[in-house]
Amino acid sequence: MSNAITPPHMELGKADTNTPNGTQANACGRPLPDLRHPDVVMTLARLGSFFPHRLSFMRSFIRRIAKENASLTMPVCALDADGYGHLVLTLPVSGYDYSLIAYSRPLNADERTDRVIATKWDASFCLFDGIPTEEDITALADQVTKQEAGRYHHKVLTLSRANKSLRLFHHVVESLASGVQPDLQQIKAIGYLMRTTAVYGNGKFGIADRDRIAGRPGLEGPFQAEMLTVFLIREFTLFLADYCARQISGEAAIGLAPSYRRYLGIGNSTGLGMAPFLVNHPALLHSWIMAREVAFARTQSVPCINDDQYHRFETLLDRAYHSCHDWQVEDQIQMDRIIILREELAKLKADISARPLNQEYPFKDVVSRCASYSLETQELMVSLLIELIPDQVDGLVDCMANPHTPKLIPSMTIAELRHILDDHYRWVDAVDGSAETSDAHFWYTSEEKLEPRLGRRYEEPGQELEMPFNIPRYVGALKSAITDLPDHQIVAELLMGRPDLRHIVRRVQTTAIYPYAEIRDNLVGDACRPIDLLRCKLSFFGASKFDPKSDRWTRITLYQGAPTAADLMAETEPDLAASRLAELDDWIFVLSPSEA
Amino acid sequence: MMVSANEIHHTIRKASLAIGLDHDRATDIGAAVVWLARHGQDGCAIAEAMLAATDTAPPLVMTKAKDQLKLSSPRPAIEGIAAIDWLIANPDDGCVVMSDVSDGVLLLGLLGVAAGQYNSVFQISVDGKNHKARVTMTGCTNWTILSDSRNQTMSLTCFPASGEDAISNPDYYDDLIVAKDVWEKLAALAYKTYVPSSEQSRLSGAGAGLNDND
Repeated sequence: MSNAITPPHMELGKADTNTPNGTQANACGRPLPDLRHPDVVMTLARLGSFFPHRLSFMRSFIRRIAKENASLTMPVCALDADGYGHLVLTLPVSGYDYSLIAYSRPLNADERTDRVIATKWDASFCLFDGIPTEEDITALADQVTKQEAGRYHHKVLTLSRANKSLRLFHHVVESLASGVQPDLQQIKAIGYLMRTTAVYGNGKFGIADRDRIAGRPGLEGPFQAEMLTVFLIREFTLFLADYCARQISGEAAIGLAPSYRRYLGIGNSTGLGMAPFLVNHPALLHSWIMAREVAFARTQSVPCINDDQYHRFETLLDRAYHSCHDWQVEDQIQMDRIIILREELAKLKADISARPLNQEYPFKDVVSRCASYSLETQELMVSLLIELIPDQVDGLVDCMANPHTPKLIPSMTIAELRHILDDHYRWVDAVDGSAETSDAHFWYTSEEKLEPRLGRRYEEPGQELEMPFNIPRYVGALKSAITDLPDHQIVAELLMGRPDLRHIVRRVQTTAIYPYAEIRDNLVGDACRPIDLLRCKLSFFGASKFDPKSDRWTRITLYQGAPTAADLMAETEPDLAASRLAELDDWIFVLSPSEA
Repeated sequence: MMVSANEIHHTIRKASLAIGLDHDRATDIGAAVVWLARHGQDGCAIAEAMLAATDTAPPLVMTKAKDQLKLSSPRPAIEGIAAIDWLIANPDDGCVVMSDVSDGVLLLGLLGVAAGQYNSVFQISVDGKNHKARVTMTGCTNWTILSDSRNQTMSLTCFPASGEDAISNPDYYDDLIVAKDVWEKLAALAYKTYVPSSEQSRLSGAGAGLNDND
């Protein structure tokens, strides 16, 4: 019996574990191009510089529903004059109906908090599998409005809640009720009417397990149920604002301008809960990064481009430049990076104006010109270049789900294990395990709503309950344990006497198959900035306006600039269908709208 | 009460950590209990009993002859997992000989998960009797073989799955039911893996320090 792991999409050939460019490797049936080495990509600093891109989950979700001409309906609207009550929004996706049940409730100012530890919200939501009956809506009301304190069943696919941005929500409602559009500066400054504080999926509190829906068309990709939920929440917020204005002024009220509707997204406060996910799902992380790296590598293989592509490149570069000038944050570290990014993009634009891109391999030329620039600029260019070859990129979305869980390869010899450690874990040699700074932090789950948190090991209690994220220490222990073992001994025999090493052996073996699975930095060191992990994950979601509030949490905006349901439902001549889809997909580096 | 597979997995995993099992073993026990629950067994009750009784002392001596591993009174979460690893590494002629297996159904759960992961079939034979069971990724032919034959010597072997044994059955999405008192005991154990909240930790979380009414 072979112990070789069944090759999932986009894993590397087993015979070639030291480079992502093995000749046996392939990506969705095509040979792999030259990829950036995991030592280069998988550092916290680079992961923490990622931007949203066309493989991001919100982008792929919108592409799907646009292609399907998905049409939003509202089978139930039971809101009172103040906008409180409930409503149902239903969207068909790939042949299945999904409904957001939204419960809107009054909330005192002293009860409104964005913390995950909150117990009341302006609105609470669940994504229902199908179209709910009145009985479903009534039965779920008491549960959904309590969120984590409720119990659910498998017809509920996700749970979420949101609070109003009081400043903008009230301003928008009052303006529309007065028959005028809201102030553009306020729209730009805030960018959303509500912000969510959590979106739960995969079996939490009794809702449907991920594997119940993972094989269903439309929801196969990572986090697609969550992306659908947030899309519908955005629709709910836009509807609610118009509805409240109409309740005040009736026919005199006007609707929010389409350009403003499209610009407004959903706010979100995101903390450390995102970070452990990346460490605990190494195969999935690999698949995400691998897809992006393959897409980027394909840009580098483009031999030449036509005038339209050149023009598109210049348009996107210009848009990125202006978008970065709209990006203002209070966090000094991030703001300093943004300032450098702006300067470098200006330099790049000037450079290209003065000296057009090489005719041969023009995108390689772009990367070459950015080689000395900051990681922010380099990674922004990855997102930008990927945008230019959609036909070679969009299919990679199908490779981003990875159902494989890491498994031990007990027949592996100690010699093979040593080889993997040499190839993939040299980075741990740079960690001085004897220094307190090397393990200054520990990750743990707080008893307060089970929120993942980061503690100071030598100052706070609880390190005995830490999550197993001290990879350098575990690798060091493994190296020591196998130093004197014979090459031919197998892992299963090692682990009979050292069961404590089984966890790290499995992890190391997984990295040999999925080289982008491991973050190649010390996650418990003093220098670790968890915000880098958050930005990486959020970039794959497609979140924009990354706005760190500390090194542990950030505000972001979801779906800003994305088509609304009304945009998707607009009538189009059949011969314009392709250009319509391209237009609906064109919302990277979103710019603020002009005055409506 | 109805629970999701993910809840079972994580609650069992954390409860296993709480009694001192290593992370990887806790993860495997969680997966085994989900597999049992999805195949009609009361995995949570079995796990709760196991967790209440298991000591986490280092592995007992496992006697290894050429192609044979001998285990006496193996604990599924400790020696059981090591034995499965060894058997997977020695599939052609390896044989695990064991007696006095405690928590036998849990061991079957671990075998079921391994059968799926390694595309294998495990066979259990009671020595000297025509009493056998097969564990595949889709179930077990005799759930009580280990407990019924506890005082006898049994052999465990492994071979590649083929035919119907190599095809997973995805139709196991029935709602999973667990007795409330069992679940509460497991949740109480899992709770021991959480760190009490402090003001310092609370201040560093998402949303901290802002005006929430802006």
